[in-house]
Amino acid sequence: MNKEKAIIFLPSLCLIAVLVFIPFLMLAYKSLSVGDSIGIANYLELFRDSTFKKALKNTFTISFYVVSATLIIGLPTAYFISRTQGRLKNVFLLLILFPLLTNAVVRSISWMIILGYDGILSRLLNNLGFLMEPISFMYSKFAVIVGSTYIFLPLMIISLIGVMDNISEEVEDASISLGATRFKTFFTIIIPNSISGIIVGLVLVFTATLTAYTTPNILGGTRTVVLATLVQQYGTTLGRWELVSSISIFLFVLTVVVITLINKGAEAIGGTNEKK
Amino acid sequence: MKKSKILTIFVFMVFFYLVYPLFITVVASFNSNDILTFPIEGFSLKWYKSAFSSSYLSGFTISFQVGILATIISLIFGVPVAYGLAKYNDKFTNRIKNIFFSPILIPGIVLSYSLFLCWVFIAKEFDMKLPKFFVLMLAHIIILFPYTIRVIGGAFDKFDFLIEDAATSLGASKKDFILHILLPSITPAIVSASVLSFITSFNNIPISIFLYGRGATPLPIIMMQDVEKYGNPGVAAVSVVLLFITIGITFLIEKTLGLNNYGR
Amino acid sequence: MARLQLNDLKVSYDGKVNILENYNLDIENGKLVSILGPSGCGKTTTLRAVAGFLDTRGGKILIDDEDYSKTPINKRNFGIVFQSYALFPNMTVYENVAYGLKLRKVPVEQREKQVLDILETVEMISFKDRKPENLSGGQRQRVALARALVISPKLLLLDEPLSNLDAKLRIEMRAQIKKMQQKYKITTILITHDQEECFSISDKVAIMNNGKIEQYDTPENIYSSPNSIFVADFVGFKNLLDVTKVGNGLYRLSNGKEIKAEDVENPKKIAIRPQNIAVAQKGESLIEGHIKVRTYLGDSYQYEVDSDLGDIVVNTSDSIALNTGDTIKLNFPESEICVLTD
Repeated sequence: MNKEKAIIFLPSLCLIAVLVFIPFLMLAYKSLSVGDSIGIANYLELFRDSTFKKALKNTFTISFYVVSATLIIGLPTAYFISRTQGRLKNVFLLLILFPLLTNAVVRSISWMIILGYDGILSRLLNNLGFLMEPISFMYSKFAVIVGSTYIFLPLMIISLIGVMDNISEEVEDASISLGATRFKTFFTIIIPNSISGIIVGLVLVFTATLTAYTTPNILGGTRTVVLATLVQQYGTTLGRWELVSSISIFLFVLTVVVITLINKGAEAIGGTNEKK
Repeated sequence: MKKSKILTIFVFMVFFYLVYPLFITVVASFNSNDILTFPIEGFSLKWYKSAFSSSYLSGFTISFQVGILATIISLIFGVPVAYGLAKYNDKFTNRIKNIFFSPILIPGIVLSYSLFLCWVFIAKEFDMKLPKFFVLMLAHIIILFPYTIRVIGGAFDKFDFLIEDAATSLGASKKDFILHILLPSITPAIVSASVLSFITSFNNIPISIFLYGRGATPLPIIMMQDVEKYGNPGVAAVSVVLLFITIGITFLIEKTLGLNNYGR
Repeated sequence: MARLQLNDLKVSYDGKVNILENYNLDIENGKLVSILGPSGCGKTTTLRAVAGFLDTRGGKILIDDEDYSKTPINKRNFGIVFQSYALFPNMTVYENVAYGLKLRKVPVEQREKQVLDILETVEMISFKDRKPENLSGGQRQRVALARALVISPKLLLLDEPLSNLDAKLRIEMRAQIKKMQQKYKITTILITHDQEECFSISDKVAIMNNGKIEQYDTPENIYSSPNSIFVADFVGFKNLLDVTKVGNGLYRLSNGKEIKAEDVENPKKIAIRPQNIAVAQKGESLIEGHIKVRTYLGDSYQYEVDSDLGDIVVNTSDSIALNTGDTIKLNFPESEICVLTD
């Protein structure tokens, strides 16, 4: 029996060790090495670095808005889809799923056309009289937020549909029969019973935004830098390699902390989170 | 059940938000102008000509090869693990489960950079420059591995392990059981894991950031570099081609497996 | 066709605590023996040990005097029917049944004949090309039975085979099992927690509790004369009363009254079934009490009587129902009393 376990698990444990753990340890070592000695000098420099501070602030601002927006948009949408039956539901699911299977570059290009100089949004605002001359919304936090929300919304919706499908419609009927409005039922019955899905969605979207590279790179460029794009810019573009390792470790720790905090918070309010 | 009008309108706006940008890209790819605009100035197919240019095609080949190889290898490693995790639901397996899912916790670009450090280390210490294509593929295996375990694991969770006892009692050896019953029973999950893994690998950019090189540059990286130059409608044309491939695959998944089986 | 003997069998899950110890059971050739007991009594452990899924730490599993305790499962040639049926989901009904023969390299023509024959017997021939997911519980059960029998096993092991079926189907299927078992004359062990199910089809019944066999006898003997308080309680002696022996075949109840019954040394309790208690119309009676609860059972009434002996359950087939609160007088007929020592 233990022999069988070894045959099953050992090769993959080696795979993870060689391709994840060893490189990661190397990264951690690199982040602590200054010349020939070991120390936290890189981290100290990192926290003095103004670009890093800006990137950190941007990352959090953007993540906050993206998570909020996907949740606010996702809740009613997921509810609507979970209460749809038959073929129509499949069509909706397909529409939600499809963007998830599409390349982030492909999806970001559209937003370049919408947000770019004299683009669709600029023209719309011109026509409405809010703007006097064509402008560009590109490379702003706004651009990254709108684009990231667009990209990560399906993650949230899929997470929510999973739990909402399991809330019986009879429960809603019971609430309404007791005198609650549909609106009130949504807030007092549906949302509290969807906590586990909300947690899954929050974790997925938050970590995805926190570590996202492609969308911020295309829509934020060098003007709106986030942690992931900073890793690349300090590395391949600016050659400040000594900081790249420490930002990487920092980004990893941040991800773990955020996931832990959300899960701890979920436990505190009684939501269960069996899936990560 | 009855749905309120406000909700219906809201949801249709959401779907508009999800679909409209893709629609714009499709239209913009037929632009006769040299920059990406909407509405377009004139109809032309010239950008599709450039979409099938050598750089995009070679990128496609690289992405395709990396995707296929990484998918197959992560299945070879992942299927036994998924089986073991579902069968032995004990303390030991629950503990090592976290190890197998650990790559999820590490941001793609960080993984990419850490593997790059290894590459540099090996190049320096052993004077051996590992081929970029090979390293790229290893990196993609890591990205796919947890994914594979999850999708295959979903099938094993529904598998009645008494079936293994039943087969053994009828005289089947371990090998008989695996080849005649276990693998055929999870074929749908293997198909869906393969398709999803391949797409994930094909689309992933961060994992390749520090690892691509001459002759080993995946398609999305090439596309992103062109986008950074701003407004090359050729990228839009490539995007549209990819969009339609994806639509095809999505329908295939829907037809064969059903969307509800889409593993997260 | 074989005689099965379990000699001093010892089984444990963790290598420390023995679930079964000094476990002995002797099943004659071609007989159907049920192992009956509450959940957790070790009956499934017994079956899994015999099948080979659990390693034994001692003792022997003898089939016609040949020890099987070290034989690999896939070489034992035992037919097993599982509670969940465990049909192979990727195979049709036909393929499921044929699988064991295929592994035994039975030639195709002979294999086909055997499979079709047995599918005919279990009345599943018209479903032979279906996948298990498209079968009802009863149909899966038939396939599982056919699959286990087609390999001409030395032993047939049935692990709660009927517990996932509804009441009506259960009766139908247990007749089917008995029919098949007799047709092929296979020594069979049936694990169950359903007393009616096992009494109806078994040649002998072993009642298990805490990893031990409490009583091993024919269903008739167990039904009429259980040998322990546990067995009596388990087989429906709802009234168990403390007694002390005061003479030869004479016992005193806790309310001071004395009754006659079979003479037994060191008695602890007497047991009597609700339907065997006699309602006294007038005159002398053993017990007098008030009716607490009345339940209509269809062919009789059941009363819960509050008496000076505690609560007594009694069934009467009288057509006139008594009401809650009414006084009732009861007698225990001597021949229906079962005296228990432990």
